[in-house]
Amino acid sequence: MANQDLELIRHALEVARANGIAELELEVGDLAFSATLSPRPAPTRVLASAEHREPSDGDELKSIVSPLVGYLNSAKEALTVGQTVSKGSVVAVVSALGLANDVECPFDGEVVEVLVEPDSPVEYGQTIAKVRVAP
Amino acid sequence: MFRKVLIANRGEIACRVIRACRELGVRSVAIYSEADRESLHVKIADETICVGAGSNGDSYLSLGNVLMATQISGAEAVHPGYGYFSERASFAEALESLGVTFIGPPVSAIEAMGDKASAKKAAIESGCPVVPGSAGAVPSDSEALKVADSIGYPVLLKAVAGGGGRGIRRVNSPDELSALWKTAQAEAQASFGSGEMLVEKCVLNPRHVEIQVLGDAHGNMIHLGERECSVQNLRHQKLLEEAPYAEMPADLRRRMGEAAVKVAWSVGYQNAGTVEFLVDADFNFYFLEMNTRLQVEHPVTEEVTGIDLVQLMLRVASGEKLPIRQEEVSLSGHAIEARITAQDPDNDFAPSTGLITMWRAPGGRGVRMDTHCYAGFSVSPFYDPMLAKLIVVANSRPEAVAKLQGALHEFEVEGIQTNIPFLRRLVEHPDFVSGDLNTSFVPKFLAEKVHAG
Repeated sequence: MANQDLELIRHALEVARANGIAELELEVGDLAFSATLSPRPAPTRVLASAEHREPSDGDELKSIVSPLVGYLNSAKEALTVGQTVSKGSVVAVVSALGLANDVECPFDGEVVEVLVEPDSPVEYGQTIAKVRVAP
Repeated sequence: MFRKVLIANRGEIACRVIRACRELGVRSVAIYSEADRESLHVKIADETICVGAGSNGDSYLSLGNVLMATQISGAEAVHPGYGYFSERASFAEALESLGVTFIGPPVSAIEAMGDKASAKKAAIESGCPVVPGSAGAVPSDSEALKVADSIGYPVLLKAVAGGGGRGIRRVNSPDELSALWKTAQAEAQASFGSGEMLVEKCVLNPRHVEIQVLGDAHGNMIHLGERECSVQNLRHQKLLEEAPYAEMPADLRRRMGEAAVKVAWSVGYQNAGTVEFLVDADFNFYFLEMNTRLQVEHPVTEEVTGIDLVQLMLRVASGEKLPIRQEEVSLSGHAIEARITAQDPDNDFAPSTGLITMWRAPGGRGVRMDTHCYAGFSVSPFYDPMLAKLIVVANSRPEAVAKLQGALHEFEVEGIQTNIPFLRRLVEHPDFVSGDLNTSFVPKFLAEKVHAG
């Protein structure tokens, strides 16, 4: 019986914080947990997956989606229409259980639509923004 | 009553809880994985939240995503169903820390019944008969040998943390104990992360009989009679369950019910739970374990008592008093449940996945279908293979058996392999028809090598 899951996570987080560790990945039986400890630099890179290719006027649109359930917060700058994004750049942060998870953009391109306001809840796989991918 | 409840589960049981919510005027929130996007539970809920991709670990068992879905939805309570987080004290604790009600027993009761050794201890302390054996975990095979000699062979070596039939070995004589001890312990270590073992007397060809209990937060607890679950496959998974146990003397029902209530009471139990017993040929009963959750086979109890268990779970979790007293519980008629699974009986019950191209479910008076499937739904490889529960109810066991035979005859599924053809043969078997059952029935049936014509 995995009765200690939460205790273990709490303990691991304490140890990680005490030792200045920025990233944490835990697997306890069938429970996987990963975290980024703010405000330290070099956070966990949580990759956003791209999906829904919608051709429009010959351009390819791709979606930046949330990789987890939580509340969406802005990265250093809020996503805006017309903004240029590059592959690997942090475009948003999703907060869950008091932890911040960076969302990386999986491609280069230009933001054509922002679908989620900051501080809004997001579900897994929800489209945060649409990007016209650079040819 | 709660305004909104999140169901931390999938499939037929999620549908079952969503229906109870709707009947009580409670808004339901379904969580789902991308693989389950088209499942019925997503279609019938008031709100839905996607919690992951396909596998259980990434979705329904992703603690962070399930807790965040609860928080985002604003649900005041979570129903865990069965499996998944239903028997994890840590999940109940996490919900508590978010100020959300876990629809189930208190954390301390989950923990007390969490492993076989502490559960047995609780049973002994409450004066309930238990299978003779070691008082707790046995440190070594030489100790196990001493215990086995004192209680007599055959004995069972059982993993303390066990479940699902893993980490259990039957030992018929002292000379084979050491070797079996090693394999059972290795299996327990691999399956449960703990190699602690118990030794128990092996009750020969027992019946598996369980008692449904239900308690509220005001100190009231009742039992709702028994379910007979002796028809199990070689992995100790139940195939057919009945209520009541037709041959059960009324006096035994009363004594087992009282014993079950006493055990549950002793650990401060609340909400729905099931105390499992073995019953031998002479009607002696022994405590086996307690499941601290709603069970798959709960509908047969609902059909013979007329009580909606899931609604009552919601009501007692919200602080209501039990609306019925023990003397008001009466059993009427006979119900049988068959578990319909996506397993190929002609291929060693291998899981079958893919698109259900046709789904023709049985109907008529006294036929209940609990399912999340329909024609056009795809069965994914990520989850338990159960597709549906077919429950029949009639005035007597022979009538219920005839109804079950007819319903299985009507039931046609195409596109995937199911165990329906196997169940049809099983319910035609003279021993099943006569009710002459114990846990050796299915192994014997399989050994008879009855093949589909």
